[in-house]
Amino acid sequence: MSLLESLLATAPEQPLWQVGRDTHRAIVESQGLPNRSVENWKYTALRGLETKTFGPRDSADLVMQPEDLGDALPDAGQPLVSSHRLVFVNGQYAATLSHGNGDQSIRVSPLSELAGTDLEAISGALDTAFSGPDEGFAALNTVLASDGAAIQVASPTNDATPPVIEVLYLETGGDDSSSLATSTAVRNVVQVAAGAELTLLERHVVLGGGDGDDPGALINAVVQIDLAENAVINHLRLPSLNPTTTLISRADVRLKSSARYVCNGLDISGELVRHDLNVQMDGEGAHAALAGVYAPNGQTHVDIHCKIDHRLPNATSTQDFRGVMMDSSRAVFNGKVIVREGADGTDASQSNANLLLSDNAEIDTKPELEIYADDVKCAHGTTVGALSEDQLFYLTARGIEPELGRQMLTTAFCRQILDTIASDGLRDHALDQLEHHFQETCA
Amino acid sequence: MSEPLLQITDLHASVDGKQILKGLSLTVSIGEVAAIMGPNGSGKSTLANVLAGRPGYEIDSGSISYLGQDLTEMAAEERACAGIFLAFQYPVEIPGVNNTYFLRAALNAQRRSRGEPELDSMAFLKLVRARLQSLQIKDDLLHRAVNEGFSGGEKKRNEVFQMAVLEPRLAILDETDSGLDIDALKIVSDGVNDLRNTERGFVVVTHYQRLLDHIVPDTVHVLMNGQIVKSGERDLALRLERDGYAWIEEELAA
Repeated sequence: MSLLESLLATAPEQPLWQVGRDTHRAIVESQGLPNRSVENWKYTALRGLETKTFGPRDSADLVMQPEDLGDALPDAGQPLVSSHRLVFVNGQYAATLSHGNGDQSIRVSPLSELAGTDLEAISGALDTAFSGPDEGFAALNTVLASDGAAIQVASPTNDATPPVIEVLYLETGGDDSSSLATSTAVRNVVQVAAGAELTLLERHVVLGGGDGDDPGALINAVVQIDLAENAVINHLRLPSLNPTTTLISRADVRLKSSARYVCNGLDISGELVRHDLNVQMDGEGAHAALAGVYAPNGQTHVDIHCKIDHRLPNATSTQDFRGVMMDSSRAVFNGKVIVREGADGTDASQSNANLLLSDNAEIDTKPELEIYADDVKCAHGTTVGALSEDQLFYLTARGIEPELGRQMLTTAFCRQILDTIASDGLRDHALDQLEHHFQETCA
Repeated sequence: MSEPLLQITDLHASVDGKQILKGLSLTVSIGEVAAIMGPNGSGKSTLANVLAGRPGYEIDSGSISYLGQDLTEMAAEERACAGIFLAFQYPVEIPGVNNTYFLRAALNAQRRSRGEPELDSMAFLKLVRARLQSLQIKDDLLHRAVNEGFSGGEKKRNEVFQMAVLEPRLAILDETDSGLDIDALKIVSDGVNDLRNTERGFVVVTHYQRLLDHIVPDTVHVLMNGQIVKSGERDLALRLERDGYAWIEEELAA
């Protein structure tokens, strides 16, 4: 059985909604999953996934109580400054772990809840055609999605700080008694009305597992974000995976005029992590700021593909990504900017800086500019290097051990990206994860 | 007589395969402030970096003894923990590393090596604030990244501030006066003078005698072409200021 066949076998037997499923099953069956002959997947192979056999989950899926959650994951037991929290366990909504704050201007629901009543407002998103040769996983997501978050901010809130919505996807890891890998597909739809603002924390957390007997897991997540005029979203991705988990995630963001999309993220774990960040500037004066840190170690492979499509004048975008590669890890960064005809006054910049800390590690980084307008400012810069000897000597000349010095410099290199996270609580959480990661790996 | 703080004997050292120090000998006693003067390219900064253990500065022959220990076999961090401090000529900027965090990590590394308990952040801040005041440094230095965006004067003040916190036995000042205006020079010198005592020694490397108006040395040594060619007291520095180095070259040639 091929990887695709084995994944299709995990489709929900009685899906809660039908929109898009049949057409995308036909698409993915004829297109297949992307392979390395597809340009956007040139540096990322699915070898790890192909060795796994996926199967349906045991129907007696683990039910979690709030206290179990606290035990299993200390830092997830307490919500991270979130006014709303949606928790899903193995792709199923967990009402007892979730909470809202009663704010009427924000509607946060699991898709499973909307499915019976009013899916109409988001059915367009669910039915989005994913038919490109590089879109196999998004098409598959449409076929397989079991649940997800629907977030609608109808109007600006009066609060001084914008609402924070945490969407937490917990995976209980592979079933030890089974040799079948698990597949989770989730779909998120976010709609922010004119002038409204939102902070969205998206976390995929795998509990336990990851050892030699673990049959592995695939998480396939799609989030579709629509920002109306002047709407703002701060989007933070903080996955916490184990070494046998693959995360394929895609964010499709559309901005109307003067809307702002700001994202940041930290990727430090997993077997294979792929992010596609697709941003479409559909309004004048829109602004997108994409940032992130990847710091793989061991055998981890992280692939970040950004695509920013400037369709209308005077929009601005920045891409600021930093990577640290250790051991036999590998990272891919591909930042594409398209400036369409007539999108004059576009200002797009891109920066990708990397520290290659091991002879066995690899980074493939590529800026891509397609410019069809005249009055445009586009800048890009890429660096790949090692730690600065001068900086390290400065630290050791004060008595700091070289191991600690390297850890300090590596952390500092990455924290400059995470420092831009606006929310204090979320920034501290991301920085703690970063520091902890380098304490473990940078010795 | 007691053991010298620093004894350098017939030191040959090179950088990138080029020999810079060519048989340098120098003794600094405990409690002494020794000024090293010399023309550009004579090897002054090389000497400072060799003493601090900078990678890339190769010792070809000769010995360096610090309180009876052989320095040449010690790594930079071991020298720092043993009480050697280099005030850098060009302090490097380290974006992303907070100045307070850095300095506490350094002090605690040194305390660990001496078997002393580490300072927690409260105790450390108390110590640091006292030192800041005496150097007329604003508190915001504590919140900034190490040297990032500092003016030339701020960088040099930060060096002396670190020295005041770490309290070394041997401080090496590499052209600490370069890039300082008169006011900053005064503040930096006062900071150094506050640290002078009978237990601590200084090697003050400078191109100009004006620093020595503020930090008055016990001994003055002239470094030319990789060797100490003349030693004396303070009046030697004054003569160098007035007459330059040509007369020494003539003396040597004679």
